[in-house]
Amino acid sequence: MDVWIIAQMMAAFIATYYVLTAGLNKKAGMTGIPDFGHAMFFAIGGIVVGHIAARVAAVILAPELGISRAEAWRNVLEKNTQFMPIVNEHLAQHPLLSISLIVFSIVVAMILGGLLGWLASYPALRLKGDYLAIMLLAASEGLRVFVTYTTSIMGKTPTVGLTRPTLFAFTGNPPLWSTVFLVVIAVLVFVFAERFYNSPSGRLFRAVRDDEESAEALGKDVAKVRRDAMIIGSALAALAGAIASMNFWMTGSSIAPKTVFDRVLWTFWPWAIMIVGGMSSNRGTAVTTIIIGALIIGPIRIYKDSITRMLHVSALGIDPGYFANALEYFLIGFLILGMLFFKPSGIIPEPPSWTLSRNKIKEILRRVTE
Amino acid sequence: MDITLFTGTLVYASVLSLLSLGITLIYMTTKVFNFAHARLALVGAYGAAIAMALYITHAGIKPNFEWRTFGPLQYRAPYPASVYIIGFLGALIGGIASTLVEYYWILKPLQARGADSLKLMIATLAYDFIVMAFLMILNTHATIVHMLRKISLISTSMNFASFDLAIKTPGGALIRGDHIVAPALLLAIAAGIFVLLFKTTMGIKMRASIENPPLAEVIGINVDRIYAISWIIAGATAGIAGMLILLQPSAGGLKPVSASSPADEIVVSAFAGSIVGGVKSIFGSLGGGFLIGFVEIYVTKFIAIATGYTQVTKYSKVISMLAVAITLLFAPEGLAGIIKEGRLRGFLRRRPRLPGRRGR
Repeated sequence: MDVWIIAQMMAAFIATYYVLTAGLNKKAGMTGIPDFGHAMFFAIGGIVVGHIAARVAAVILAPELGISRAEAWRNVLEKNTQFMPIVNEHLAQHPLLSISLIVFSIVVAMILGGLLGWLASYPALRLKGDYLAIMLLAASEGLRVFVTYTTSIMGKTPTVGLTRPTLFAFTGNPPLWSTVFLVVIAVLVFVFAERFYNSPSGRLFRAVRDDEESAEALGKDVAKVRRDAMIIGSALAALAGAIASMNFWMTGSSIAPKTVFDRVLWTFWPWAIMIVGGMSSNRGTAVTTIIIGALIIGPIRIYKDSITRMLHVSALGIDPGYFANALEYFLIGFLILGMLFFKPSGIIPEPPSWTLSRNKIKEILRRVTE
Repeated sequence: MDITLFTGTLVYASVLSLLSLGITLIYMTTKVFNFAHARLALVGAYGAAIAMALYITHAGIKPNFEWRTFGPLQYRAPYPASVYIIGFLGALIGGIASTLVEYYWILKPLQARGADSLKLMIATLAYDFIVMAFLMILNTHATIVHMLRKISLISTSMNFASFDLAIKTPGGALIRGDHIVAPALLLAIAAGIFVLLFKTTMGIKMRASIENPPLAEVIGINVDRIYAISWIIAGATAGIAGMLILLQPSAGGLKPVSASSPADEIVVSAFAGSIVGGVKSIFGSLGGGFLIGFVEIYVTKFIAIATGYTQVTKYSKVISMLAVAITLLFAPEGLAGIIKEGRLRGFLRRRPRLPGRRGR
């Protein structure tokens, strides 16, 4: 396979997982809310792009397509596979509409994700630890079942879903430019996370995680802090879902409920990345996403056939295809266990807070020493 | 009423009940929710399948699918009883071995290193993935596929429904063996655990080590061994659940056995059973699992009949999620807590509540 394409796939994977894990880091790493239902917030982003953005695009373009707006509204779901390619062709002629749709879907996804996070914070204020984890896992599964079988949300076949609107069609090379966009968003989120970590509210989040009582004694509203963490983390996850759903390398040409709600891909992989990188450590998360992205996309998804051929597993009677699929699960399992056993604080442990910028600290040091 | 639906639900509820029991036992002793528990049942199912296949091919047993009569009943038993006993043993070995590996090689060393409950929970999840990957390789391994194909039709998933005993009543209704065996087994296990906990010294030691581990240790109880025994019971019940899943023709929400299904689907229901029953009560979990099994299938069925919207039955898992939410938010001790606090008893018998008689 072309090196350039592999580079794009890796960049898309790394950027998506960085944003997704940054969201989990706000909840689980910084505030100590064990969110095992992270996939449902990611799925919100997918649904917004696959359903809402597609419908808005179809309704706006309806006069140009020569059908009534009501018909366009219906066609998105009912004649999805025939209708969406036509919409995509027309979308390519309208850069301004495409750009505003991109902004629109990101904003809507973040608002809806934040709202769902706010709803999910209701149990988060009342339950602790293990119970909350089970509760959120069950909520995510319940929502998955609901969306999968409600055909008016994501289409009739859960494994196929809806054909994606190509919002980057106007650029001429949608896979490339959507990947560039993903990377830009990921860099912005990285800057935000770095600043947030040292900000007063970031420090407050960690204070609540470390000692709830003393934070309360200092007059901080613990319930509000938890709620804010859920909203910010979930909005980031929905952002990751939205931008990943616009990208060809992450979703292919359709958005299916089965894949956007996948617990392994969107809940447990971020957990693995967070644990390997170090809970609540932003730089650790970034470094780990790059390492894991390179590992997963390179050896496991693209070169898995050559690897299984190299290892001669079929000589042992093992089916090479299934062995290659199992490799990913072995990797996630042993990575988590290995880190928990040998370096529970992660590859870059949680750094101290830099409450002032480094230059200012140096200046103060100079002033004091002079 | 549809008898096949009822009996199918009975098996499904029994499977959930057994899994909830294991989850609760593990939570009570090790203070960790075992996310791998449903997968351990699949290990039991594979253990049973492989043991039966080995035994049948080596002993040269030929299946007999003829209908035989017994009084007014007609029955069909394809294999002699020894095959099922061997399968049962295989399931027990699979379940117990996989739980003990989890306990001794993963959770205990991690606890010794001072991991908190969140880290332990993630470790069980990691173990779940490793076992799943292992099963993925195992169930497509040429030798095993070849061996299992000799006795049953399998592709990537396997179902031994044809192995099961079938009984035809004079009325023409067809009852399968596991419809009788599953609830009977569940009752036997519940009775066994009751005797173990309340009638033996081992049970007293067990309750003491669950209630207050340091104090139990001071008295001279080997808490580690007691915990290991709880894990063995949890593993054995998971293995039995796996055997039941294996013999079940995909009714009542149980899919054929493969590396991922039905564990991925039923793990949430099993947790729901454990939580609804009260995660600090062994008998509560048995009841909770049973209740969730029946509620999932019958409530959706009822809604489907009442509204005429047949698609509702697909949403059965949403009900277990709602059950978890309601239980955790409003009655965190679950069914056991409601019964123990006398709320239900008081409500039913309207006995005046005397001071000092509350909350025994």
